[in-house]
Formats: sequence, structure tokens, C-alpha cells
Amino acid sequence: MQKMPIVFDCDPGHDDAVALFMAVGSERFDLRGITCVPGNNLLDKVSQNALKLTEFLGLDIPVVAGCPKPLAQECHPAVSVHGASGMEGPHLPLPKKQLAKVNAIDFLAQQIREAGGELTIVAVGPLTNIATLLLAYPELKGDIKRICIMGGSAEGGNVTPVAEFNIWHDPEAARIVFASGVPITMCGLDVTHRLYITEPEVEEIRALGRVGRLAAELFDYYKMYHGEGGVHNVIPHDAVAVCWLLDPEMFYTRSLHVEVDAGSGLSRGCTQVFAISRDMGDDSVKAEVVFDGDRDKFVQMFKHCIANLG
Amino acid sequence: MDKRPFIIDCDPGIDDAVAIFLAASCDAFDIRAITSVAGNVDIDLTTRNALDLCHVVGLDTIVARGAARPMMVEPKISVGAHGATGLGTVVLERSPQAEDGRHAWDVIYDEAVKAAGELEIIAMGPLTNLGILLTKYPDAPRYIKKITIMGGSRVYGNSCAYGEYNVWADPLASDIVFRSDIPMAMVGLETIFRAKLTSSDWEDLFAEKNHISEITREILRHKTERGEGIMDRITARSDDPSPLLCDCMTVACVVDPSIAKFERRYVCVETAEGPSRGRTIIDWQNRSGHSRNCEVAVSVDRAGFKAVMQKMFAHYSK
Amino acid sequence: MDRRPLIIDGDPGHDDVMAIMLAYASGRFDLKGITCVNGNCPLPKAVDNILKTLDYLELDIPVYAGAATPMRGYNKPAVMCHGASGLAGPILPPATSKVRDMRAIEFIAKTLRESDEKVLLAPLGPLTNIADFMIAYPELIGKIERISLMGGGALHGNVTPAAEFNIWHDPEAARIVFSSGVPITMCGLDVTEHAFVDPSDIQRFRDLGTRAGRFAAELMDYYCLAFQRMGMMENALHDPVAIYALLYPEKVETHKYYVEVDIFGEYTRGCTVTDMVDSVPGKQPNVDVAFDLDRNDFIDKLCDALVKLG
Repeated sequence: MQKMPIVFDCDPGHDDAVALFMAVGSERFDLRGITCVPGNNLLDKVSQNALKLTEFLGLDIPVVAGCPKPLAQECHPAVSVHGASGMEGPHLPLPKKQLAKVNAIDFLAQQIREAGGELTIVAVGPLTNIATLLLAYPELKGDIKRICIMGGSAEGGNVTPVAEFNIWHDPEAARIVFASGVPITMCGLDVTHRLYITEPEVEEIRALGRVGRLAAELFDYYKMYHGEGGVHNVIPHDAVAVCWLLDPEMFYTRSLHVEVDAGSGLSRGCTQVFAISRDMGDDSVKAEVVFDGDRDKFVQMFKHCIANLG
Repeated sequence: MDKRPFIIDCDPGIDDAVAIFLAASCDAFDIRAITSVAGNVDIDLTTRNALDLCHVVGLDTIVARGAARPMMVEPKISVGAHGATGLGTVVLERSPQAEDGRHAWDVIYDEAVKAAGELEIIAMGPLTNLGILLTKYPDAPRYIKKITIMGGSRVYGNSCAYGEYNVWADPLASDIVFRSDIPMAMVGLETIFRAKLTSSDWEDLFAEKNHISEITREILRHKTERGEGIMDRITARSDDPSPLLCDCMTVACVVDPSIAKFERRYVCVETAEGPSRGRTIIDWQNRSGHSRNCEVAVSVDRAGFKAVMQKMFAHYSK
Repeated sequence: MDRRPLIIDGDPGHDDVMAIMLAYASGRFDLKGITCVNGNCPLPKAVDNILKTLDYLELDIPVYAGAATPMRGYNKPAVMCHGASGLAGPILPPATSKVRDMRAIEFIAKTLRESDEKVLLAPLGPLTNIADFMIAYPELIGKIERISLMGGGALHGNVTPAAEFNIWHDPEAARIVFSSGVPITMCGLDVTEHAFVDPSDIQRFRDLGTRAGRFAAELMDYYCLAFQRMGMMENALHDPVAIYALLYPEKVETHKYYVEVDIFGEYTRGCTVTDMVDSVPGKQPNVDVAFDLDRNDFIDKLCDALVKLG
């Protein structure tokens, strides 16, 4: 089967890391490169984390640092979730490789052109790089096959009562992306909160090999943010976006109009999903909004991908 | 004398046209590129006009196409204000030159790096190209010496009560530019209006007869017929329907800074949708605690501006 | 001449007190009562200040307490201008009269209901009480003859570059009042900056030889000193202008414009957006905006009032 050409735009990030494992381990993607964006932590930290991950996986692909800050505000690193390094927990050696000395936006444009209309962008961090790409290369919009996003939420946020972190970190960028007309899949909190991994399952993952051990160590740190009342399930948000591309059929997805609030009020960063969209005409821009998925199958696929990496 | 490297970012546009004539006439300027943006009219027209204006004035430089729409908000073009083509009723000879294949923001960056920190920019339209430049190239501020904008206003606006069109049309881009740490100068609507030339001033200027003054006269007829009514009343000028050339006066302030008085203040842009969208908030009392990022033109000397225009028309008689 | 019914709403406040003296002493108003609002100082202090002042000057005017906070909830007292008590400067004996039991908005409603003719309102502070009244008693809005308020600024602000303090303190209330359809005279910074007092004026108050004159001089001494300490030479006597505009409208230069209170802007929240360029098609001018007055006459009329009060 033809591999799906993708670029991975991320802010590693514990869940970015395991999403990357899933993508590479699936053997279904042609991963052309990784572009980094600040979010979980500042650009230099997340870029270093990305380099460490690619070396750990033995990947020889470009890792490019993107925009250093959101379009219209300052960075807000999620240190309470991901720690001081952005990927606290396991120790990974300092990377020998360096970041590719190319402009990230030019790099993305080049990948789009080379893939001849087949490139999917997997965007699991704030959408700063993606929006800048669409602004700087408006003529390439029609050549992007899909942007598969981890971000947003139809019902309730995490960083504010209505806003999910990635969108909240750069609402202007998100608004630009969602209004662009490029095919978008939005894997928001609605679905990611349902696709959790249990503690016993994490132990199974730990036993799968070298990558499994790393994933489990990442989960050991990351689950501390998610646990409640002694039960420590872990929610690997970003991996859901990868899984949707692998098997969209196992998800419940609706084609709906999404409007991002980039104003200065209390709902800044909210993805307004017009779920009861009687009044939205057929010509309004729509996104594929993912609401639910088969959790058991997700975990099974996740384990399968990790096991493939050895 | 070392020429100063410039890029002119504009949306020709009647007053952009005359401003380009002025900039091209200035021996001290080395115009590295003209970049077009949608604003007064759509991007196809502003780009076409930029090419043809360079041709008519004999300016041999790069012309690069910029943004077709603002970064985030919906575009708003004021239909008819500049005529169907953007140049009133004037039809220019078509330039044999083609657009540079690169985007405006890439040309600006390339030229900025080449000029090793000496490049200055005059922006006379919505600031979309500069917003995209600064987002795509986070190190661009290192290479840009100064940005002078025709934009904003001390009080009176045109797109809304206090919002001047260029800033109002793309508030996000304007916000990005004002917060960029690049030294800025702002020649605003109200200041320009108070120094507007009278109809008899223009008659004096058009006494210098040449190709450019004739074209200018034709182009400006479209603006004159519309008049500036309310601004006249507010600034207690008699209702003299002479054209208001904002972009031209902005370039004049760069050509000859002695004609304007500037005061350094902290300026920011209101980007929220609402009645104040696009307002340039000027901290006159210096109470905000922010560093003062912009030289705000508080007055322009009308006679001085007229002299600059006189010199321009004389240049084209040679 | 018949005395026109008037209610003054204020946050005393040095210049509020001067305005009340001007209104009372003119003999041209039937001053029904004074309602107090939170603004220059917290509500209990405003009430106390006005009671002390009325007792001292032996003026029999009922006082009612109104809103303790702006509509959206938080307080920003103008301590820098008015001191911690709200009326720093003269030392007054404690009040003997008491605030009335009735709430401010109920007093306003009762007065309007029972009056044969329409009633004037002179709000000198944030518009919280007026807006609360309009929401609670919309059927009585038609009985307001005119609102002559001190607030706003067409050309610029004071507490922020765009917004004047009264409107800025409660933008939602101001928006409700300005869009109510009631005839409004807006005595904002544009006119009040022309109504300044200088040391010779203060000496003139003192030289009048009356208790009221001495009291006014002591108030102004503190008030001017406060502005000097803030590095501003401005010592405009804002609030009395709203009363002066009711007494001598022919001496105040006004233009009718469409004014909208901005509640949306990040930097412009609380500003009175005055469309002097007819930029919004179809909007009818709704406010008489005052821009200038005869300062010498203004000071003369204040002196007359300070003599009459004895």
C-alpha cells in the first residue's frame, strides 16, 4: 500500500512523542519531516525534544524550528503538565544531530509541492506554523490534502472553561486555519478524553520493547496530570490525530462549521462548533469534527505500532 | 552620496500613484522594490498599477505581488473611491515588465538581508505584507532600519469614528508591526488632513507642465469630485474640494523630514471587533509604562509639503 | 421661573460637591435628592462625604445609597485624585443626618412616577445607578427630560488614552444609558478641560468671605495639589459643568453626534466612540456633545453660588 506522505508539526510534549511513535511504528506514513512550534514549552526546548526523539527512533529526517511565538501574543508554556524541559520524566541523551537550517515555512511549502497534492499535515501543537504557511503561500492551499489537528473542543476546554490549550495558545492562527477552506480534521478534547490508556495497559506497553519502555516512562510522568481519585489513566491526545488518519472508520466524525474565537473576551481560544447547524448554509466552511472512537481498538493499534518499533 | 535603500509597500490607488512619482523623483532613494497589497482595490489591480506606474515614471525596480486579503479579517474595499481600475479614469501604458515571481514578503526579506540593516520601508496600504513578513521571518526586525507608515490617526478616522483605513483594514497585521520593535514613524490621517493643499496650491503645481504633472492632474480629478466634506468641517477648513494625498505626504515626510514635527510615543492598535477596531491608541501622557515605539507626526507644514511637490514636478520636466 | 425637578447622582468627590453647591444655590432646580454611586471612592465613603457636606453647609437634601460596585463587579477607586476618603482636604464634623432607607433606584422611580413633569438627571459619576434604574423601570424612562452627565470624551480619555474615568469605571452601564434614547448632554473631557481653576480662582473663592467659599477653597487646594503630584497641571472642575450646561445651555458649545460606548476593546473599553466623521451610515446622532464653554462665566457663576450659600 502507498504510504501517506505527512509532515509532523508538533511541540514535544509527552503526547506528541507517543503520537510520533505511533506514526512511525504504523509503517503507513512517509514522514517527510518534523516542524516544531512553541506550546507545551518554548521553541528551543521543544525543538531539542524533537531532535532527541528522532535520534532515539533512528530517523534520518529534517527537524526544523518554526515560529518562535504565537501571532499576536506571548508564549504560555504548559510547565505544570509537561515539566521544565517540556518532556520531563525519562532521560534522553543530548542529540548529535542539529536542526535543519531552513525556514520552516519554506520547508513545509517545499514538501507540499513535492508531494503533488498528497501531503497531509499532522498538527498536534498550536497552529502558528500552519497559519503562517497559509498566509505566506496562499497559492498552495489547494495542494494540501488535509490538516489533521489535535486541538479544540466542542464541549468545554482544559486551560480555560471553554478553550483547549493548542487553540488557546494561538487563537488568531487557529482562526486563520479553520477559515482557510483546506480540509481539516479536528480531534479535540471531545474524542481524546474518551481514548484513554489504563494503568494496566501502560504496563503492557512497557513490556513491548525499547520504545515501549520509553513510552511508558513518558506516561509515568504525564499521567500525574490526568489522574483523579487514585485512578491514573493517561490521555495521549496527539496520538488520536495519528490514529484517525490510520483508520477513520473507527471514529464518529461529523462535518460541521467551526468558528474560532480570537477576540479578547472570556471565550478567547474557544472552537465554536456549530453542532446544531440548521442555519449554517451548505456553503459555509466545514471541518471534520471527531467526537468519539473505539477506545479498545485505539489501544490495540497503539500497542501494535509500538511493538513494531522494537 | 550613498543612496538610502527603500521598499515601498502600497495599494495603488490614486494617492499611492502620486507617492510613487514622488519617491521615484528623489535622488537619495534607491528603491529596491515596490510591493503590492490589496486595499484601495484588489490585488490584481494594485499589482498591475504598480507595474505600470513604475513604467510611466521610468523606475527600474522589482515589482512583487503581495497579499490578496487581510491576515484574519474579511477584506473591505471601498468601492468606487479610486475608480474601477484604482487610478480614477486614467489608463496608463502597459508595462512590458513582468511581476517578480516571488511573494512580496520574500522580496522584502531578501532585500533587507542584502542591505545589511539599512533597508527602510514606506508602507502606504494595509500592513498585511509586513505582518506576514514578520511572522514568517522572526529575524526580519534585525535587518530593517525603519518603517514609516501612512496610517492611523490622532483622533478622526475614515473607516469608523477613530479608525483610519490602512490600520482598520488589517488590525492583526498592524498590531504585529507596531509590536515588532522595529523603529516606526506614523503619519496619520488627521495630521495629513490639517496640512492638505488647497485647490489653488494644486493649480500652482500644475503650472509645471510635463508628462507626470498631466497624469497627476487626470488621476486627481477622481478624488476632487468626491471631496472630503466632513473632515473639512471638523478641521474648520472651508469646504474646498481639493484632493487629500495621504500617501504622498507620507513620502514627503521621508524625503524631507524638516516639513513635519514628530513626537515619540507608545502606540498600539485596537484589534477587537467593535466600534474602536483599527484605532491607533497613542499614549500622549506617557502613562502606560511601555517603551515609546513610534514617532507620531503631530503636524506637517503645508508650505513645506508644497515645496517638496514643486521640486518633484520640476524633476520630471528635465 | 419654575424650578425644574432634578436628581443628582454622584460619587463625592471634590468636584461632585462643587456641582451640588452650584445646583442648589442657583435656585433654578427643585433638587429632589442625591443618589450616591461607587466611583471616586467606595460607596459608604461617598454617602458619608455627602452627608457631612450637606450638614456642614446646612442644606436639607435627602441622600440615597445606590450601587456599591459597577455592573461587572470590581472597584477601582480614584484614590490619586480624591484621596482615600474621597473628599480629602477640608476637615468636616461628622454627619448627623442619615442616608435614607430607600434604595437609590427606587427613589428615582418614585420621583419620576410622582412628578407631573419630566425630571432632569445629572449623573456626575459612573452610570451604574442610572443603568440599574433603566433596567428595573423601563416604563419610566420616558419621564426623564434630559440627562446631563459628566463623563466620556470625544477626543481622548484620562484614565487610559481613550477612556474617561466615569465611563471606564462601568462601561456596560454607560452603554445602556447612551443607547436608551433619552436626550443626553455629554459634558466630557472635551469641555471640562476648559473648565479649570487656577490659584487666583481659589483665592477668589476664599475672598468671598463665606463659609461655603472657604470650604470650596480648601477643597480646591487639595484637588489641585493632587493633580500636581501626579505631574499634571490639569485641575479641571469636571462635574459642575454638567450642572452649568443645564443652567446656561446657550453658554456651552455642543454638537450632536452618534455616540456609542465601547465595551469590546482591549485598549478602548470604556471610551465614548463619537462619530464626528459620519462613518456609520444610518446611525442617528443621539448625544449633544459639549466641547467648550465660557470659563470666566463659569467661575463667576460658581462664585455667585458660594456667596448665596453663605
